[in-house]
Amino acid sequence: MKQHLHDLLRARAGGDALAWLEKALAATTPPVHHNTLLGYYSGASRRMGKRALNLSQQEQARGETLDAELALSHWGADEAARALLLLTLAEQLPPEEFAELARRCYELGDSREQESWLRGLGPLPDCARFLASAVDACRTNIIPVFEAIACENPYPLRVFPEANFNQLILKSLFNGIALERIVGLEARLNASLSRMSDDYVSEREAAGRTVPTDIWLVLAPHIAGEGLVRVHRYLSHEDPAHRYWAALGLGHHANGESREALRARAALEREPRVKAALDGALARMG
Amino acid sequence: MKMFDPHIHMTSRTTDDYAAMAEAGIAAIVEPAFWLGQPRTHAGSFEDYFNGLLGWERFRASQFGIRHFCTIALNPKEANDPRLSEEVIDMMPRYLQKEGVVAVGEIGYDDQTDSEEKLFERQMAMAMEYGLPVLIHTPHRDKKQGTVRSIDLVKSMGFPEERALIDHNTEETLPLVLDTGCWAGHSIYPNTKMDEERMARLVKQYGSERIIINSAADWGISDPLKVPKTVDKMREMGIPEVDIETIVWSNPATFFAQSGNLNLEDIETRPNINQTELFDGNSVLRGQTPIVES
Repeated sequence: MKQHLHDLLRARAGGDALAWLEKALAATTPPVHHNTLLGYYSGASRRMGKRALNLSQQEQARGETLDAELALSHWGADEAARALLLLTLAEQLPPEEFAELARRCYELGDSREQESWLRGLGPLPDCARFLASAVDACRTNIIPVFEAIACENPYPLRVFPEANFNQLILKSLFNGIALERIVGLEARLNASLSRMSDDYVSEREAAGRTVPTDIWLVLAPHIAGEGLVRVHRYLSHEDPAHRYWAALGLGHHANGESREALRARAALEREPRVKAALDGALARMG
Repeated sequence: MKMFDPHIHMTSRTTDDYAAMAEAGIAAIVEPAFWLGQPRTHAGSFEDYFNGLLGWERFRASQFGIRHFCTIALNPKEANDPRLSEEVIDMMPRYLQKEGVVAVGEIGYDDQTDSEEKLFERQMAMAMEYGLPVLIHTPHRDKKQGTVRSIDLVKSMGFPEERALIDHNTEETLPLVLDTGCWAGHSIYPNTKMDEERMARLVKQYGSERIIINSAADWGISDPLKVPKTVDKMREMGIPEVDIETIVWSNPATFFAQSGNLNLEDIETRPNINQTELFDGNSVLRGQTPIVES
């Protein structure tokens, strides 16, 4: 991954930016002066620019062999440079010193630096040691920082314990972030997430407020009783988005209880996208 | 009508806000210690924050004829940082014994983690030790479960229920709180939590006993005049004056008076404003003519 990032930057950056990058990488040779390194980490946005990498097909293919779930195309040049700097540093420093310096990069970072840091967590060696900082980032009120850890990022899928993962999903729903952006959501569906989402729908309905249409994706799979009746109700909601997500969610329902409800709706459904979702859900149930 | 806003983060607000609040009838406020929008990385930052709540902020409020009280705690969000929590807990007894500290708070759950629970419990124990009420924050996410767990903790610790204020209630959590002896707070927000009309409907349904409302205004989109605006809405919807006054004055005053740090007779009269006063050599004025009342 280190080589790949370096190549991507070499193919894009101008002479001054590349000269700066090589100087920054040279500063990772021990003994590392921490404040100098922190300065390089910060300076990446001004020196490398923030333009998205926008990978070519060939570059994309190479990236996927290294880590298929990393959305490198969306990364800015500055973010790639920061990730490269940390990956290089990880090879140069003893693990403890590296971890301490990496954490300082996050703690002293402005929003963009924190976003870069969070996006670049996955490829770091022994990345689970940074779990506490990643969970801390989920408490932020700065939405782009939250999105950096929650969206198009495989780190939560791979490292977050269930409770933290569920909080991340709830916070995404609160902030109107589409759940499709959470990497590996299907693999992390669980019963308490269904229960929490169901309570959230109750709370919204009691307050006379709208319900996020994609909540059924995480609510439906492990729900029973009243909650399941409610999902079936939304399967006929006037908003096709509710019908679509309710169908998709029910496709993941732990047992086949919803087969009849899905069939009944499929017979009436006129919206092609919703119809396809209903058919797909029925096919999953066999 | 004299009003009390029992939950407002004035350190994030301007002097214009203070002036508008005083004009609207707000005569007393409680500022709970909470987080600052982004996590602090040193325990020492809390020391300066607590000192600010007790010092400069109280002074600023007084310059507009508003009595300022505060609550002190390690908030649930930052309770998840082990580098801070022990040191902050260690410094708390120093603050809990100061004048004007009317509760331990905000404590409670945010993500509902083990370390939040541990520090919630420890701070409840400190409140018992120092004879203070508690202000319990309930989480935005998984609110009902968080409220149930908070009530369970109050009960299992044998904490006197009449000395616990459980905040940020909704239609679904209010009946749970009223079933106990705890008080029920409601934060009236422009977009989330609770609005004026829903609040007035709850009062119609449940009455005024142990019901409290606040603006919870802070650095986010919020409105320091939500208490007076909710009073208007309650009047419009035909709620009797006596109930309104109970909710926006007697209830919060009675609750926080249990600390021994808020005297019910004293707060009946507004303090005289003397804007020629200085705090550590600083004035809130920037060239205006000072107001001096006698």
